[in-house]
Amino acid sequence: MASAESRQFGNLATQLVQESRRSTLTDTLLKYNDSLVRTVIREQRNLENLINSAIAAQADNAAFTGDAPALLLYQTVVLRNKRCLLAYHAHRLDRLKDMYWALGGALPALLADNDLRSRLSPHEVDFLREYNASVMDFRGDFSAELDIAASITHPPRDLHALVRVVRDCGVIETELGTIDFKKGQRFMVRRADIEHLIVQGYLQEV
Amino acid sequence: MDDDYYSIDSILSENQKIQCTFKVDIPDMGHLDGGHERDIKAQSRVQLPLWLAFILIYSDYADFTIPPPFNSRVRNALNAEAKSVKLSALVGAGGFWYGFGKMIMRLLDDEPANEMSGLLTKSFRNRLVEVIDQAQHFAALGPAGGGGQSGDAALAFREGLEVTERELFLLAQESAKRTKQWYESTDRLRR
Amino acid sequence: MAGAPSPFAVALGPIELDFGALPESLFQQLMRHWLNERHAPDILPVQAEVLGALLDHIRRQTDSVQALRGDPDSSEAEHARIMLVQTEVERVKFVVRSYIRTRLYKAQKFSRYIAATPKVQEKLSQTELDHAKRFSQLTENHFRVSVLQALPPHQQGLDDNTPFTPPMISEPDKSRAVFVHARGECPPVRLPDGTTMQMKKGQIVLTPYAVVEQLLEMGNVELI
Repeated sequence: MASAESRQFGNLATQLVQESRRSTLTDTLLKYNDSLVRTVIREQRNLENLINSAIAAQADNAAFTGDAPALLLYQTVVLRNKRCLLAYHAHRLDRLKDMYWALGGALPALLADNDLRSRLSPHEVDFLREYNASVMDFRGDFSAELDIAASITHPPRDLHALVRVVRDCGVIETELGTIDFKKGQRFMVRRADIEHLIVQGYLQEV
Repeated sequence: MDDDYYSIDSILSENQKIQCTFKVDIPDMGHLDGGHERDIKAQSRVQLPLWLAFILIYSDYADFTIPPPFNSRVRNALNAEAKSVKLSALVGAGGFWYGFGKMIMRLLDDEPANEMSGLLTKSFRNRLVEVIDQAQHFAALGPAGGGGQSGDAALAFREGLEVTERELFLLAQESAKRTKQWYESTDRLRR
Repeated sequence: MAGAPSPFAVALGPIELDFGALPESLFQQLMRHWLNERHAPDILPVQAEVLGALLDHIRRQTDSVQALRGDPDSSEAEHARIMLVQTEVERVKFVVRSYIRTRLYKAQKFSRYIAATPKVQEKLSQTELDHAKRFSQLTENHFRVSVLQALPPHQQGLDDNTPFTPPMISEPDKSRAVFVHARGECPPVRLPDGTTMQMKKGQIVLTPYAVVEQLLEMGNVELI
């Protein structure tokens, strides 16, 4: 065990941020590192104690004892750790938002993915729910004219798409009337009617 | 690089270390850089991460030296022939040279800061042309393209790109490739 | 809509299909604002009129198409026209959607800054502002329950301003470089080094966003 290393303040916080970098590079969301977060928070509490001791010592002795730079050092590490903690959490929220929009704003689909769900902290699930609620309201203001959650990466080419049903999606209203999408069947449909079903994996473009 | 509080890249880039010399004693902090001494003594030289160095230098508890990637030998080489310098060798494979330089500038007075600024922008301008040139050439020929003498020099240059330049190279390459694909697809539609 | 003046087209028979005269000038305006929004590091003033007009256009076109499709007497030629109108509508919807989403992204990114700065709030629509404020609270709350609550009291601030560290409330970076195209003659502007720059019509420059922020708002330039 490296007690010298563990006293290298800021190392643990760096590890957290490196996980964020790894997450970006591999384009995945890693499991929420609850134990590392807690450890950094513990380090923050230790630092707070050291700061309080240094302040007390300085008050006792009016002469310059070298505690002022120590105080500054501790304080700087505290702020650095805090920045790392918050950036780690903020980065994860950004990834979650991206995933949410990639699925066309379908929260149930996102949360139904158990593999993903297991990597989230309970707070992150709460965040997603509340985020979704706000987005739904936002979306509602435009829904008479268009779905703002549809694709913004692929400009419309053909009006229609040939799709194959990968998973049953039941009866869907389209411009051709109601269609019962059963697995294995193929349909030529208007892209705008079913784009969200492609995004969520029910239909596959042929 | 986004200079944002929450920016992962910004935070990690501040982990880069510079050589500092303490001006005061700081008892019980000897472990700071993984050292084995109990106390920090004035005049002791330590490698400190930028996020810590900034405040110590600003508060006059330490001095620093210009890091090797920006020493006079490097400056001269860049002023002579910017394209010939392997920046990645100076800051390591995943390292930012320009970003590092930008951060060092925060510690400099006006005149040396302006000089550094000039060095960074001039080097970037000179090298960028070659970066884009090669990216587009590669987009046309594919990864196996470019052999012979000029090929070796070109390869050496690419190997010497630091991270920012490498990202630009990849972007330019991807962009050239997509443009080509678009031309070809629209050609097909016309036939 | 007999009698009502329209920037678009002429009524064609009992059911209007505006397809003959696409609202090109209005759509072109949106395209310009859309590209400006995509390139600018700051959120721009919302173009409520252009947006509103195009949303109306989308709704009218969609309604017309529905009506025509439901009509069993419509001819082959009319069906072809329906396809074309639908294609045009999808195009317009795409740009409208992207414009809205680009702004939404920025409203989220700078949500705390927006919530704290009334002057910036004027640039957002009410819908956008509501979401930005909610998002700001949502984010702050998440930080609180995940991190700050467990820290010692002195460390719980979400508003620190430390030397050498960016502010905890993210602000747009107006020093970011943008490519600017002068749409016409421009008044002179000041560059960071104190000199002035006066763009001529058609000129393209690469400059920090802050330099051209006013020109952009006045429509003298566009971002490319």
